[in-house]
Amino acid sequence: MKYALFLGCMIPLRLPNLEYATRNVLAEFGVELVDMREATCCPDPIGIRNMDYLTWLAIAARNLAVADEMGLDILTLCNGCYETLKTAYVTLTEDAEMREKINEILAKANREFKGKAKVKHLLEVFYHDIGLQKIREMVKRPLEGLKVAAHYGCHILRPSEILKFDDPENPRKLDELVEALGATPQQYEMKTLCCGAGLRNVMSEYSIRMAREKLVRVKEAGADCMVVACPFCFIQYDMGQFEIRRLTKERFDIPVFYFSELLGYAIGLSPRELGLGMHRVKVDRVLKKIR
Amino acid sequence: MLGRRLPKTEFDLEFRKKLEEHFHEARTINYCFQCGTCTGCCPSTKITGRYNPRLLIESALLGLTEDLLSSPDIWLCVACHTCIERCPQGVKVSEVLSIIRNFATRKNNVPEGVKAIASQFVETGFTIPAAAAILKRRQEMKLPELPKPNTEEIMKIFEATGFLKLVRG
Amino acid sequence: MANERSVLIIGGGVAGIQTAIELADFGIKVFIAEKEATLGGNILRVGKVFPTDDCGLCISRSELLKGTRGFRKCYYRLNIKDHPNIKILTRTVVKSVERKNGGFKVKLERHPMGVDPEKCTLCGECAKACPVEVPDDLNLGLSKRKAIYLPHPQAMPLTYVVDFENCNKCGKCVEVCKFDAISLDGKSESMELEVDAIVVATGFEELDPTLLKEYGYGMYKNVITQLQLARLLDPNGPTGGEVKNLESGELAKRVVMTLCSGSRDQRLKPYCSKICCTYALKHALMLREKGIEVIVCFMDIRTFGEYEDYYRRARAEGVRFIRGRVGAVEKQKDKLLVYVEDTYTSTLQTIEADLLVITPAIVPSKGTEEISKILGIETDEYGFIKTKEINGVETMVDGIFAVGCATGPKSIPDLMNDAYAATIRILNSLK
Repeated sequence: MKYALFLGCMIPLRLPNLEYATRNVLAEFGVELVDMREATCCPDPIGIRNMDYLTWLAIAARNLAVADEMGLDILTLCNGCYETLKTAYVTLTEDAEMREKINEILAKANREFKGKAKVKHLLEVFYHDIGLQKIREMVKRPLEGLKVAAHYGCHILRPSEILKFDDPENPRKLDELVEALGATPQQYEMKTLCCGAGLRNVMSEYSIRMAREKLVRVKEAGADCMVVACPFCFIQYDMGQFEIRRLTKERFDIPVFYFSELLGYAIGLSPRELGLGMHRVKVDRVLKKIR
Repeated sequence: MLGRRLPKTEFDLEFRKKLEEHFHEARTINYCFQCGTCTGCCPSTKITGRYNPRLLIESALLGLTEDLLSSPDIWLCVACHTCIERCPQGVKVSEVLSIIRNFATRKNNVPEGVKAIASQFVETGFTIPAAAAILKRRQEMKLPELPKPNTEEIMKIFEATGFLKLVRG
Repeated sequence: MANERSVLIIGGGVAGIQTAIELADFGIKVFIAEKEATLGGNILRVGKVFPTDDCGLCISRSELLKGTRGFRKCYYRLNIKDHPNIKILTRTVVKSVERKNGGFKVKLERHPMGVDPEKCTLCGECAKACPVEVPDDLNLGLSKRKAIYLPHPQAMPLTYVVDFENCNKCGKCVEVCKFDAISLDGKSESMELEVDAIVVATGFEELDPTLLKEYGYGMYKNVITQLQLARLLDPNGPTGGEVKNLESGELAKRVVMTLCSGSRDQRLKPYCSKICCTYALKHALMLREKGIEVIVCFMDIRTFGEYEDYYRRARAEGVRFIRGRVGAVEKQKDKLLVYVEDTYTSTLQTIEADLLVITPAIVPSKGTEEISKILGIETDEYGFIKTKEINGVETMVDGIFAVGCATGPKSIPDLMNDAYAATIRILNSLK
């Protein structure tokens, strides 16, 4: 298993600990990563796309062209990057007119979209390429007794016609991955609700209030912690808990894990090797719950 | 506003064609029969009370562009795409509204926060600046150097699409 | 077959029974092959029907509308089982068909009933003794029944029957039966018929509601379908006619209905299922009679023709209408929170409800695909049987006819017309 690693912006520039944990975990599974040195922002499927669709598509196509040239499929660590790159891939493969238009623009940069490199999300690699069985075998520290609320986020599921990762209304794959680690996937209301990150740049109070909606329901269901697959969701729920406290005085005390971190802990990596100390909501209390 | 009357109805029934030129799937808005499922499932409607995707699609269909493109509320979408999943007519609601925001941008209706990331993007190719503290942490963790894309090449793309002009004026 | 003309009717629901009566009255020998243990089909579930708001089993010569009753006798009292020209074959399915002598040779398989209708006195001791419990299909999963059971208080034939799929052959029922009516050793038998014509009357069912994922059907007990609501409203139903919050068991105070669940939906069934607006409002009126608050969330109200009266009456009786299609549902304690935009006022409503009733699209019943293949008749892209004319009764194969909802959703008055039309076409073809 060898992939062109697409880091995006958020992880390398704000949450390098997630990059660190992910690299360490993937190494344990023998996955080879080749850094995409020429990659830019995916670009952002919300802000940038809202300003100019053509630019968004063209820069995304450039990133795909870079991977084409590397001869590898792309591995993304972020839902936003996943949506952008996969949507661009599907649009340009199905819409010949658009593909021509974009390649005319890319030609000015000496690039061409050929559609060879496929786009994969980290969870896809864990679920499909590595597989639940292999993960179960690698678990040295089963997370027994830990009730984990899986938050998929929006851009790994929808639009499902394009992304086809999992059932958009009743997704199961992240829950199954959590189960493979020995933990208990905790169900809760409004499971497919957005984290609200998209409103951060527009009106942050709304963004925080949207994050709060999920935390209320996760807490109501009795989960010990949350697991996410995207750095934006991570920030919304991790740092977000402090912002909510400032706004409404509510305390949730629900640690948030990026999936690599939870997996890394289960296969025996130390908290230090996973950068767990860098979370805003401390994880120690919850790790103690594991039998 | 209850019982509002437009002084002289100015429809622009060609507006939907303009949308389609920029985004082929925009033709799906023709099928919208205003059932309100999109607004019913929209988290932004719930949280902000100021965002109504159904109304915006209807405004687009009628071409009420003056109101539509100047309203700051149209930016309150989180792009969760739940509307697309649940629309019984297959309207690509959030994606079409995104194109409408493209039009609004050209009329200078764009939030400061969005302008800021676009500016950063044009300068460096990334939407987030590289803070010194982060670079230090990356070193401590022995993480590889950050990607260094060819900014000249990217500039050529920004010029070709008109993005450079859009951001810098 | 020289003097006696005969017809096989596949499906013993309202449409099948009516066609049987019409043909039998003309002197034609009619066989009704019904795969369940009783005739009736969905009519056993729906209780009251529109437009006359009386018992659905009262079929036959119904002069409809505005309470005018013509010759109405319920099928039970019609004693169709004693009609000299009608032979009822329950638990019977068609296995193969081939043309013979200008008609058809049909191979059928008859599965055992387990109980002799001539001996069963309906005492119910067998069911009391039976240790096996399974979901009750009549009540669409809302209750359980035993492996020996009475399919319906007005079953035809009126007898207890054995569910051989789930029976564990413990024999307790045989022990307690004073009338020696039960036999657990029954075997399936083959049967051959030669008939002049075949009528397909396999009916409909509601679209699988688990496909309507955004409503949480299957996840939340309190999300049910219109047909399940009909079961709750039926005094013979699983809750004795009381409409309850199925989580708490308390009487429901507020019921929210959402129409067009899967109909007019490009993702599922693009067509309009025609009759559901009317029966949803029929249900709404029945709920209002019980003093339950009803909120109907709709895109359009298509109570066609004079059924518009249901809409007018519903408004008069205080049914609240919100023009908007339900967007999201979640559970809060033992109630549901229903999110719907009232598009008339552009406000997002959050409605706390005891029950959410969804109105799934009408689709052909499960056996339709298989029987179409066996008979070699065409179906349309939705699985409904294709007819030569629009609203017709002749399938694309000569000699094979189709009536009722097997060809598309329709009301009872309309399927009566199918029965009459099929009868005249069959008689013409036999000249």
